[in-house]
Amino acid sequence: MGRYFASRLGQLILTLFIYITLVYFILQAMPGDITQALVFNPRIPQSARAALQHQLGLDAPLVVQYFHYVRNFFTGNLGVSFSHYPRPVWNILAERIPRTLLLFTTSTLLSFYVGYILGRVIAWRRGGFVDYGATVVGVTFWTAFYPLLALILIWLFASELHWLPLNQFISPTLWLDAPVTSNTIFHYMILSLAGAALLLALVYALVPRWVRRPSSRCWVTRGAWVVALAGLVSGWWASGYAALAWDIVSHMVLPVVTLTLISFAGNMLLMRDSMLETTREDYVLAARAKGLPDRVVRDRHAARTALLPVVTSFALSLGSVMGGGLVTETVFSWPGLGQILFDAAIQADYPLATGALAFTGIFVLVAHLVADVLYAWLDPRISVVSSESEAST
Amino acid sequence: MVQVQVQAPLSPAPSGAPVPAVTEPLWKIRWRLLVRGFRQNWEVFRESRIGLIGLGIILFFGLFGAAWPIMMHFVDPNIYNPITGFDPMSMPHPSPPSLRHWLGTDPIGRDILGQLMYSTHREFLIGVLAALITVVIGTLIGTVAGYYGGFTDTFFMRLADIMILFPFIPLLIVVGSFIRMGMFEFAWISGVLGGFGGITIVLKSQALSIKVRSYIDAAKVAGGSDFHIIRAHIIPNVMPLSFLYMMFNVTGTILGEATLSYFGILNIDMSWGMMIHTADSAGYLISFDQYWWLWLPAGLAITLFCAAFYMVGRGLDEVVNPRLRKR
Amino acid sequence: MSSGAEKTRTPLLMLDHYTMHYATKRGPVQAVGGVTLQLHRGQSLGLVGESGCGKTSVAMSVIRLLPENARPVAGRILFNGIDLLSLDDEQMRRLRWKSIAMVFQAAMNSLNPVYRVSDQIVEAITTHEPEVTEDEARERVANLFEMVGLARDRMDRYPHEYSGGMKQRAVIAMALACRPQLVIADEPTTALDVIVQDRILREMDEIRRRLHMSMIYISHDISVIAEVSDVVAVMYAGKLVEFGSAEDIFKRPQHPYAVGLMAAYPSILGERRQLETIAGEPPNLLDPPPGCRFHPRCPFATEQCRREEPPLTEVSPGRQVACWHPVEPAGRASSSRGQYSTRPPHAADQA
Repeated sequence: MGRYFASRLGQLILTLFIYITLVYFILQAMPGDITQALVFNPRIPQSARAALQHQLGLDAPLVVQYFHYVRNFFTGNLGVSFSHYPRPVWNILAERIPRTLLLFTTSTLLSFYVGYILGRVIAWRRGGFVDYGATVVGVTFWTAFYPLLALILIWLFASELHWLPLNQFISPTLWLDAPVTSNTIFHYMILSLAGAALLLALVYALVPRWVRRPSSRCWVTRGAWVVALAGLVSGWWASGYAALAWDIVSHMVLPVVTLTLISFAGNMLLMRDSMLETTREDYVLAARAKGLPDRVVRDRHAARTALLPVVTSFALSLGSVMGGGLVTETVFSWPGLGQILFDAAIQADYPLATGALAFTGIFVLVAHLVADVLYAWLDPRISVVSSESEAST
Repeated sequence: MVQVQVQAPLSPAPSGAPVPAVTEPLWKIRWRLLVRGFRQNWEVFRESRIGLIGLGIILFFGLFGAAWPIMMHFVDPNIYNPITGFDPMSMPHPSPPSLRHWLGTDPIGRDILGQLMYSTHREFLIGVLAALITVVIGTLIGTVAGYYGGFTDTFFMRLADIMILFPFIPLLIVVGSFIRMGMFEFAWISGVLGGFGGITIVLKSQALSIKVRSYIDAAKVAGGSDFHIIRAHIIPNVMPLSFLYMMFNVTGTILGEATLSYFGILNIDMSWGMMIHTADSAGYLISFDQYWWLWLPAGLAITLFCAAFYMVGRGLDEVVNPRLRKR
Repeated sequence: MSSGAEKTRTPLLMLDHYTMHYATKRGPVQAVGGVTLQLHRGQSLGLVGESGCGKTSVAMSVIRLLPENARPVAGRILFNGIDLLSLDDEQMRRLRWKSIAMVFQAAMNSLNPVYRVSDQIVEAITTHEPEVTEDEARERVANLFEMVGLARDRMDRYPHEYSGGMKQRAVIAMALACRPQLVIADEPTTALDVIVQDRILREMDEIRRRLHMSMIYISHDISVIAEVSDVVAVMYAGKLVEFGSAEDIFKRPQHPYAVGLMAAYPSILGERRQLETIAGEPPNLLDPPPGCRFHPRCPFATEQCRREEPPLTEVSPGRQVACWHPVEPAGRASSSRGQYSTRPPHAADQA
């Protein structure tokens, strides 16, 4: 497992390097000099342009420029944004990335979970009305034009029903006389969520060792969920900033729902197909012969193994999931990576666009690594498989 | 599971019987095999209701798009032209659906139905062109990598690993805002980017499984060149899978095109995404229900069109992947 | 081998004219046609026949794990006097493994690859005996492992870390986990090499005697199970054609099909001889032949065989044959063997 992780990490760094190179040369292939955009931008002093030219060494040959770029990138020097002058790109991205991270993680987990649950149900009743209905609904959402889907949801829940706030990250009026900034609250939100997640993970890891009676395990895990959720709610309540935190959460609901809707269907359909294969396996028949209740046969035997190919193809679809996420962010004016990328592109802010694009890639790569490790954890055969493939190559 | 084998009594093959001499020309035999293979696949495909629905929708869009040039003979092009038309009779614009404009007009007085029909054939063109490029590149790389293995294989597979993870839409947004990207540029860029991606991995493993079959050895012993073996034996066998991926690629391309058009990044005179962009940039999407004809037909068309190709792909999946079939 | 006293008691398992069809698009496949047989406590039954003769269908009917298109048409399956076909799903579920366990045809694949073997056995125990803690269940698994000849410390490994024979033993241990009254072993050893096959079968038989369980062995190869079965039932095309003690059937088969079946497999103990196979194919069960289902392939078939179905009649105590012209015990296999044409050996085990 350790070796597996190490080899994956090595591959990740290599892939990242190639990705950054590709991004660089694609942007180099764009017409015109990078600093040309500055000439016509009244907000940027010419001295800044000269400084930038010097920093980028634009008169040097392309290869030298490329090495400069790579060195700068890995030392964290991403330059200064044109459109947000004089904020450094790194500063802007550091503010944006956690927001995208939370949105992406929440919606990904939700869509994966929903897809998994629905997929195994419809596969278990193959051929029935539920199967056809779910497939049609699934295909519709999967191929839906998501900017439009987002707009429909905004219109329905924000404009018509007024259940949820319209767009953006916060409601500015609420924060006018708040003693803290939205970023501070947001960072504490992420921290508290991570804490709750850690607690749950610990409970799940330790329960088989603590509780020796399998039938009482589910009560312990359920209890852990209640404790974690109650802890989150009461903790925020006690802090006195619950209203502010709730404002951010309510702004998150619609983007998360949209992202979940557009991507759960893919997981669901995959899960269904995968499960149709595993239900024919002998160990599922054996599980049934063992007299396990139907739900246990479905969830613990058929679905658990069917999950593996779903995780694989999910890991492979992360790039497009991320693309969809960035587009959705833009539609909702959620100030994350996607919106800044879009704005930078429109305003020809090369350093910011490059940085945002590079971090989009890093984001996807890290998510891919997480999915890989998850897969290795889910499939006990993986360590054998990887050592075999290493031996053969 | 208990399998009941229902066997038709097979007549035992007489091992000593003379093989009838082949008198037919080779192309005729090949043609007959092709037709038979097609018919068999069609029989399986027909079982898939989802696939048939998808095919039906594609046919509908085909007729819908083909009807546009015919329609233009019967109406005044000054009014009904999807790009330059303007109807001074049904002010103010956007006007709701009426007998004159079945789906109403857009904010600058152009007929929505006309735009919808006019866009159809371009969507077909973009989708099929990009998918075709992807499939041609993917099939070539996949078969060559599978057949030769070694460095070629490693190189293209690593490249595909990266391409899979590439967030295309953000990249195209950046590229599209820096250069002028029209319909064909978009089609070939997304086609080429897709061609080096995941499709090569799938087709390579398929090519690998074919490479080890005995008729490939037979062809090699018979003196077939590598090129001949790839062209005559491996490519025809990965074709069904290529075709399947082509269907899924059309979906991806059209969605990408619509998204970029919606953001106003593509330089296209008219497309479904463009129609929504027009409505959005003129501010009509805020009152959604009031101006529904501005977004609903185009949005529905995008979703239906993409869903149709995806559904055909799923139907084909049951042809290509026998494990999914019903027993 | 079964004593007379045991016979008077209610049998553990009794099939009473059990008839089952598979509904297909082309019509019902008559997979099991009126099978009647009995199995007493502590007895082992060998169910023999070609592939597709309905022996697996019978086994799956007993544990009620038939595919959805299976339709029990007539008859009863009595287990301890209870008709299994009348139980609802929940009652049947509780009976499975607790009372009737199974060793599957593809034992290799009946272990889930993503769970430890021990967990898969513990799961069966704690499902049926919720009062058992996991530690107790694990201790039982360890004992079972020793019983089937596996090292205790292997139980926490994953299935892919086992060899074929080890998986087979683990699956047998799993079948014994809840001390069932009946274990059905469907081709339990076909995937293994002959030496391992023989050893595992003998060990299973020993365990069966020790735990006083009943067992049904299913195989297409009569020589494999003859040694471990008390009684043998021969099936052909969904029908029971001969029933009797293993020794009787193995040495003096009376139904022409059983005679052919004996001739088709080598005997480990018997003399070396030319293997023979039965000419022709098993019939299409969508439209089985009238009269005796074996008549198209039978060398002794007469007009009566073509028209009337032979009933299963007792020819001697504990010996039943469904044939109009049973081969005389005195004549034995040797005389009839010449009646069968020599065919390539694969013709019989097709399908």
